[in-house]
Amino acid sequence: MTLALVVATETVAPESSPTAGLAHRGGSVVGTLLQQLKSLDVTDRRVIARPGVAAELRDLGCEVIESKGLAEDLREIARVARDAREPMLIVHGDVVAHREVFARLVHNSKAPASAAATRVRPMADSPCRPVMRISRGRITSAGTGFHQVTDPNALFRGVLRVSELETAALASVAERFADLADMPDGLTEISPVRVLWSTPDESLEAAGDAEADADAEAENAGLPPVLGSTPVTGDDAPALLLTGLVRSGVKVTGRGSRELVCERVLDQAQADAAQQAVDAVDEDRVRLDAAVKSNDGFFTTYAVSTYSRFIARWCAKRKWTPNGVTAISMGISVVAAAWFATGHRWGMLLGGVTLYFAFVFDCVDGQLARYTRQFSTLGAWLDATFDRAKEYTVFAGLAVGSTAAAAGSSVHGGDVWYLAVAALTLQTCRHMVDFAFGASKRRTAPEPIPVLPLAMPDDSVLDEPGPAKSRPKGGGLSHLAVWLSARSEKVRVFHWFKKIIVLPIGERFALIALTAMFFNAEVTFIALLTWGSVAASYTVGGRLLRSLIQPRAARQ
Amino acid sequence: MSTVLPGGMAEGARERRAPAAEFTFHGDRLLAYRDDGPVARTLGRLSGGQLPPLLPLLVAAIVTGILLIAGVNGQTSPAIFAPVLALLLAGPASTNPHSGRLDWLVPPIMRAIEYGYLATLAFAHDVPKPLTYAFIGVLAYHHYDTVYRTRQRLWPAQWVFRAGLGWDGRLLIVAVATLAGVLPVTIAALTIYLGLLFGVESVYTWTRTGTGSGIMINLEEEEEAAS
Repeated sequence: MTLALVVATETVAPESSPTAGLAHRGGSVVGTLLQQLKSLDVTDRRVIARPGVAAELRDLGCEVIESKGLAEDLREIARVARDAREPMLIVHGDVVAHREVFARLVHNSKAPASAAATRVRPMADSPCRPVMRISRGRITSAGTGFHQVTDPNALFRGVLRVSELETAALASVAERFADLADMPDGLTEISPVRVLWSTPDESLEAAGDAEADADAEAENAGLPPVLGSTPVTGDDAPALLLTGLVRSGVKVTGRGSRELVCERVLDQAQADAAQQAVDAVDEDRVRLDAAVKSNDGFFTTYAVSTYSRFIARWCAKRKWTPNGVTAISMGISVVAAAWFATGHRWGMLLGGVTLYFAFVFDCVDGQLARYTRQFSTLGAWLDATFDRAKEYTVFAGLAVGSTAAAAGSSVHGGDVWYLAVAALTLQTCRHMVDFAFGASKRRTAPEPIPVLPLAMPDDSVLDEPGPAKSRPKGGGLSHLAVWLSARSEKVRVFHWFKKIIVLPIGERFALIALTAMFFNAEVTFIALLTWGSVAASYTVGGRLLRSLIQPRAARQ
Repeated sequence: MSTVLPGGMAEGARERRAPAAEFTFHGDRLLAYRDDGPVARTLGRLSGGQLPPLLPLLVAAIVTGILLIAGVNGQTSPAIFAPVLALLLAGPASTNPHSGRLDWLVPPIMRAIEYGYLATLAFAHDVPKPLTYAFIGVLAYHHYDTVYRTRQRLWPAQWVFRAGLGWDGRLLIVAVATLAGVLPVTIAALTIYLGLLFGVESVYTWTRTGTGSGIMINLEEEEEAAS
């Protein structure tokens, strides 16, 4: 349930017809937009428009709120926000975008507020869209014709989502801006961009946005130049509200994608170009690719995730649930354990292959959940618990098979139950290290963004007192190790080495399958114990160092 | 600037830039991961949470290890008494807030002592080996279950930890059973009892809780290397 307010106050210069009414896919831009929102369970959709064009929009089948100017737009938005009990979406009526752009905002239930954004290169003085500065995913400053942004690195794409917890803040911001808009000198026009960098590249990296450059390049290459080339002239309530929320200290996240289109269109040429840009992208593929976890291990990334997403899509078409797939995966591992328990070479070979497919489906359930956005607490619990159950069932199968195998056969590993118990114990202890370290981790609360007056034209009070430091201060071995660890992330080989050495789940399943197929259970367990011990030493050692350089916790 | 609205002045803003020394810390979860039973909790109440958890536990781990290596075969071997020592050393810290820098080492060390001790004793006293594996498996299920539930802000009821006897209770029972020469039967009984308890309680809780409201919780924040 979401309530959408579509702001269709922009008109095609120099005529007065609304940009939202531009022809698009046999209908109008706003018609397509409302259709997209409807398909996303946005049950309440209202359009704000000028009286002169209200009739035209009503003919398109919109529920129209008439408003004569910016102040009234804002008051209407405030009125709706005061009554809203559900999340709100504030959208420009002339936005042409992939449905997925709205979907990601609507389903982003955790963020207090989020805005559609595009990363851009350091820009010229007069950008055509409202600018913002994003730091670590959070918008730290947002601009309008009346609000300057220092060192902007992103553009606002005209879609803002506010969760039900922040609709009161939204209403208050809208009311305060409405008052300012009514005052003769309430808002002062200002040039949108202020540049402070001495060296732009360094500043980008210091903000933790090393990828911004690459993003910007892809962005500039992907879109036809006609889009976004006309400066927006009219009243921009969504950008004002975004600025107001950011300046009120609300955490607003910037959500963007390199692949997806989200553009305001101001004339027919732009509307056509935007439609072409939308059609040029395989939206489903973008969504499917986003369903694959980005920080998986080496084996998972290269031997499973390359194609498991297509199985996930296949499952989604058949309306399978993630929990169903988890159960299938568990079933396959029980079969694998049974093959291992036969104590014959062919059983071991079949067991290894079966175990691999059990792991494939283990990845599919999560990808299916992300692809179809079916998240549940039970699902997360089942997925995690069954992962462990699969592994430990296979241990038991291997131990049974090793004893059952004829003495003298290559599968016979003797009585390996004690090795199975040792492997289980080591693996559980390694997990406990992860869990306990995660629970004890002290996260520094994010620095609050200072509250800025809404009428202040510039944002210079946010300036950093000095240049940001990327290297931790102070000496000592621990600092060096942690610093080295962070630097080595940038080198691909080191990145994978660090992932592989800790023996993550993919590598474990592969190790079990291969050693069982070509040797026997004894070799499997010894390999697991050896690699697992190295992994445990590496992890515990690294975390000891990390813990020692951390600041002391405040006693509670 | 022609108008300043309520909500902040430039000077005030600058002051707030100083990073506040705020931390979020989940010591309560570390306590749940310990899986203390009634005996350890009683000792904890007596100590008032003043004793640090890590050092005594390390001593307990080393002593238990030495006793296990020294011999477990005889019915009255010294290893039988390791649980008492471990309990005296590690039990009193059960009420400590576990806010030390290295206190995240406590749960894994505890599991190493518990599983290591139980398995070694069982293997030495002719408990059927698959049964021993199943016994440790049941305990592992309980410990993972605790973690995976608390991670979703769903806490198992306190009675589960009491009825599960805790690491302390399980170690003491197994030690006494070894002294009495009834270890295989005891392990079988414990496996069935704990398996039913933890399994049924999980299923019961999940059917009652339903599937949750679909709130997405970022599991990655904790899913470290070895998941």
